[in-house]
Amino acid sequence: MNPIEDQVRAATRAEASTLREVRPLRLPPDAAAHRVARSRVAVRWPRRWQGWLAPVAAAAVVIALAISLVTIRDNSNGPVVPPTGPVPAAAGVPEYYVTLYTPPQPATPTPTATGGSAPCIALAPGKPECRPASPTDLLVGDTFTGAKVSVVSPPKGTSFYGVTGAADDRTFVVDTDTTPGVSDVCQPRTFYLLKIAPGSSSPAQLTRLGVPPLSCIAAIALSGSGRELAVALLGKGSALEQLRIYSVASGQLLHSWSTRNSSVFDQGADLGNDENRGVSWVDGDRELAFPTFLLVRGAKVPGRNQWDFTEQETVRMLDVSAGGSDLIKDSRVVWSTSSPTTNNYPPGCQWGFDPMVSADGKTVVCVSVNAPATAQLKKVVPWRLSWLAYSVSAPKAPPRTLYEVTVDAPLSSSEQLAQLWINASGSTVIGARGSGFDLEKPAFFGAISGGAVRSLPVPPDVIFGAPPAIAW
Amino acid sequence: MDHLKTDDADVGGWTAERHVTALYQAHALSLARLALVMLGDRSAAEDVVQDAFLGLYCRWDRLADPAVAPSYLRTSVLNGCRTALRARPRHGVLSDVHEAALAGSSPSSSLSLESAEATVVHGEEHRAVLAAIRRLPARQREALVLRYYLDLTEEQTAEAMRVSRGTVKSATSRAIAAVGRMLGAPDSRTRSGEGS
Repeated sequence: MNPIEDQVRAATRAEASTLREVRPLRLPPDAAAHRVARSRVAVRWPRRWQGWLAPVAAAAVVIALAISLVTIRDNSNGPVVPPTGPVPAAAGVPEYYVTLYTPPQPATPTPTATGGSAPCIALAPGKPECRPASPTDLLVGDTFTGAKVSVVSPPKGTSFYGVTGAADDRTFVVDTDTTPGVSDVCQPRTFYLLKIAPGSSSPAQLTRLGVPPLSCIAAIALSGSGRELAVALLGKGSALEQLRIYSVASGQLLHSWSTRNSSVFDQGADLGNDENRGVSWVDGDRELAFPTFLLVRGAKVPGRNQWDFTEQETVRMLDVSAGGSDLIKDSRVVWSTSSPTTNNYPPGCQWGFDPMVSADGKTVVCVSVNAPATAQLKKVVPWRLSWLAYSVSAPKAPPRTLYEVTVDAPLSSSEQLAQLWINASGSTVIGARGSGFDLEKPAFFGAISGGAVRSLPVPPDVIFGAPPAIAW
Repeated sequence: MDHLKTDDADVGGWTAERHVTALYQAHALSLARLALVMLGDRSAAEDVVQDAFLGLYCRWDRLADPAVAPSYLRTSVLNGCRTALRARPRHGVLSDVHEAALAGSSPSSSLSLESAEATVVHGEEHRAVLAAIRRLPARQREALVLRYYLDLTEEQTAEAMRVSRGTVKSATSRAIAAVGRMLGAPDSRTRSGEGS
């Protein structure tokens, strides 16, 4: 057991134990009236809501009604629900993706050694009592048709954990979790080369790489040429934050930089698996871009024992051919932004969500989730949801809006955006938008190019509670 | 004799009231503790729990299987906690006690989020850990609480959070790593600058 896990367990239980009684339940008279009224109306919820039962406390009905009244305004180009169709060839959207994939499992109880069923919790009506744990496969899919090209099972006793792709749309590096069921990012990962050949008799081929098993991975990035693998490692204990480059062909460590500055890399707001957007290869694989995220304490809030903070975010560039070993000293800031935390959803890049850097090194693309500052959670407000592009050569200039929609929804709804892939010039983005409380499927999944959007088939297992582990 | 007619809904109302009250007696304290761990605020935690039971009461007729009510309530409480957390400024605005805990010093006399009893019970180490947990992004915090406070499995946590098992694993791992940094490395505390 990790000592931090022990500390978390002890601290949370100690805090919980301080609460020894709760006030009596009060069911207001109007609640009974409301309940009766609802029982007389045959409300048929969409299927996806049935299992969920819309449980946001007393405000649920109000919020649900508000959600049903949500309107979407398209501020830039194209209709609200973009037409499904081929993205213009010029956009250069890759034809195939590789994503983590858990095949559907039968709803059968998990047998135990004693012949009974493992204790499981049913969370909603109609949900299976228990689902056996299953390894995570890889799915090779067609970006434009959604067709499954191939499903690749992991080596026995492992699950696939992360995936990153080269520029040719045929070469990928994936890693496996060698200890399924253990929650620790510092469990070792084993790396494999995945070559895909759609239409051939062997559409996917998996080969073990010579890269040694690595632990505490923050991000992985295969170079455009497919020859080098960058791995960002989180510091743990006395270990420093590191950025390493391995040869895909030989598994040899080619370069390594480190720092004690823990603001580097993904600080955890993204929940992707071995994040493949946290480090970017640029300029013909000669440089690596990586983000830093920093909270800077500001003034004390008058009359309160609180401080305001500013969220700072930078993109640093590292010349891999220049050598060196200090990740901070040997890299330079090419772009930065900051915003105060006085507004929950300020304009500009969403802090903590990895910005992406185009392969030509000229553009930083990020997502912006902006809503007015108000304490009224039930109030329907306009959410401005944008994919923004900043020029590295003019970092202080206002960003170019690649696409923006405005969604009228309660402040308590959970509007989310992600950018999942950008082309070499940063002019085309594959992105996704999650809306409201339905985090299971994105409200939009598609390509953005030239101010227009095109829907693409949603890959299986894309759960929008977190950016999907998917690579092109 | 219309006034003597039995209204099915009224009967249902009585049943709902009885069941929900029984559920409250059985589960309210544990749910309030869960909310307290999530929010760090006793009053807000109790509000969230009250709202969850009120929501259940309003929907009792549509609950296909009363046996799932406890897990439904837990999901309601978690959703309520998420909503409450969204109402707070993100990340940055911390109370004295949190800042003091992060800095390893004694907090001031103004403990806005903890009772005097809690202060005694927790001790410095627990306060620091709790402060670190509360600086995590909401979903990481949730994963951590479900995994280590409630001792749910990854599968159960994924069901409760409505995310994939891989996401739970990733969120939990990153949360543990982040808490470790906040407790250990000096530069993982509130930072005032970075290297050039």
